[in-house]
Amino acid sequence: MMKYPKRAETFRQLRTRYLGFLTSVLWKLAGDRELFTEAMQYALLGMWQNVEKLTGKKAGAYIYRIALTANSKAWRNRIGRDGQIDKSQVGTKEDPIASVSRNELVELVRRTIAELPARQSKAIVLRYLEQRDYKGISAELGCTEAGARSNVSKAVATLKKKLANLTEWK
Amino acid sequence: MNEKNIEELLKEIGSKDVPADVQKIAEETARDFSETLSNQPKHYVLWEYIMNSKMTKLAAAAVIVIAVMVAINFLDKSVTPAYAIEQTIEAMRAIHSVHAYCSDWDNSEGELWLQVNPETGQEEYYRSDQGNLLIVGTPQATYYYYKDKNLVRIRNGYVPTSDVRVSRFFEDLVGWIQQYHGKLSFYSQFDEGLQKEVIVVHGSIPTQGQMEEKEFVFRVDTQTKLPIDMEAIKCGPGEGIKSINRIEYNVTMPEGVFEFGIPNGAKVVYDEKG
Repeated sequence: MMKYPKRAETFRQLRTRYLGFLTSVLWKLAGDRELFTEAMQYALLGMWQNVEKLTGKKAGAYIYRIALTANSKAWRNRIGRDGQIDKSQVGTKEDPIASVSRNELVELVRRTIAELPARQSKAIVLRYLEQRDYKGISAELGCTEAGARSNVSKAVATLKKKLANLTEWK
Repeated sequence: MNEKNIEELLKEIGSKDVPADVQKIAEETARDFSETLSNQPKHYVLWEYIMNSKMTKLAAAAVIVIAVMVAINFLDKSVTPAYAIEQTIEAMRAIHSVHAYCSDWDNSEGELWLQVNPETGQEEYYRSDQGNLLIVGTPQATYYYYKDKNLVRIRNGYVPTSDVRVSRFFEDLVGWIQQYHGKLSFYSQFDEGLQKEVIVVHGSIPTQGQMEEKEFVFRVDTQTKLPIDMEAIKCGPGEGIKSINRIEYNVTMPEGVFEFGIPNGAKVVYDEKG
C-alpha cells in the first residue's frame, strides 16, 4: 500500500489531471449544482480510494468507472431506495404522460443513465457526452468498432425501455 | 418516445457547456477535499465511522475522508491509546476454534461450536444447537434438525453461518457495513461486571430490501483483544440470534461434535439442492 505522503501527492496530481474531465462529465450527467457537487465529492473520494489503480495502465478505464459510480451514487441518494424521486427536489408531475416537459425529460434521461449497467452507461457517456467516434469508443471499451456500435445501441435501447417503464409511455 | 427522440435528448445533454460557477464549484470542492486530507492528523482518535453520509454539504467531506482512511488504513488507527484495532485483527487471525453460549429472541439458550480454516478464516465445520433447531455444517452437507417436528432437512455442501468470516470478523465487518450503507462506531467503557475497560463496537444497518434494519453491539476485551460478547439490538426474524453471552477461543473440540446422526423416527427431506 502506498504511504500517506506519496498517496496525497499522487492524488494531487491526479486531481489536476482529471478535474476537467470529471467536471464536464458529471455536470452533463447531473444537470444541477447540488447533485453535481455530491457526485464530484464521491468522485474525489473514489479517486482517493483508487489512487494506485489510477497510476496504472488501466487508469483511463478506472476514471470512467469512478465518474459513473459517483454519478450513480449521487442519483441514488436523490431518488431514494424505493426508486421514487423526491418531488420536493425535482418537481416531477403526478401524471408524466400529460404534463412532462422537455426539461423533465432530460432529467429523466439523466436519472436513467445513472441506473444503466456500467458498460452501457460508459458507452452513452463516450458517444453522446464526449461525442467520441466509434473508433474512440471501441478503444475505450476494449472492443471492435462493431462492438462499440452494439454497445451504444444496446444502451439506447435499455434507456428507451427504462424510460418507458418510468413514464408508462408506449 | 422512440430511440431517435432519446438520441436527441442525449445529444442535448452532451452539448451542455460547463457554466463558470459550476467550474468554480468543482475547483472549490477539489480544493476542500485536498485540504481536508492534508489536515488529518496522522494518528487521530476515531470515535465514529460513518459510511452513509449524504454529502450535500462540503463540510461532510471530512467525515467521508475519515471513513476512507479507515477503509484504507484500518490498521493504523486507534480507538484509545490503550487499544488499536489491528491488535484485534491480529488476535482474531489466530483463532482456530470457537465455543460460544447464545440466547435467541425466543429466550432459548444455546451453544455454538465452530472450527475455523486458518487459511480462509471461514468456519469449515459448525454445530449450532439453539432452542428448537440444531444445525450441523460440514463441507459435505449441512443438516438442520427441527426437534419439535422430528424433521431433518439436508442440504448438499456447506452453508456458511454468516456473511463475515469468523477469524476475519473485523476485517470483513467494515466491508459488510459499507456494502449495506451502515454505521460503525467504537468507544471505551468501564464494565462493572468485569471491573475493567472494554471497547464497545456499535454497528447499525438500515433496512435493505427484504433485510430488516440491524443494530448490534459487541464488546472487546482490552487484554486479549478478542470479542467478549455480542448483542443484537435490532434484527429481522430469522436473521440472527439475539446475543452471544460468552465466547471461548481455541478450545479443544469434543469428539464427534460435528457429526450428525439421523434421530430415530425422524422424517428426512432434501432441499432443492440436496
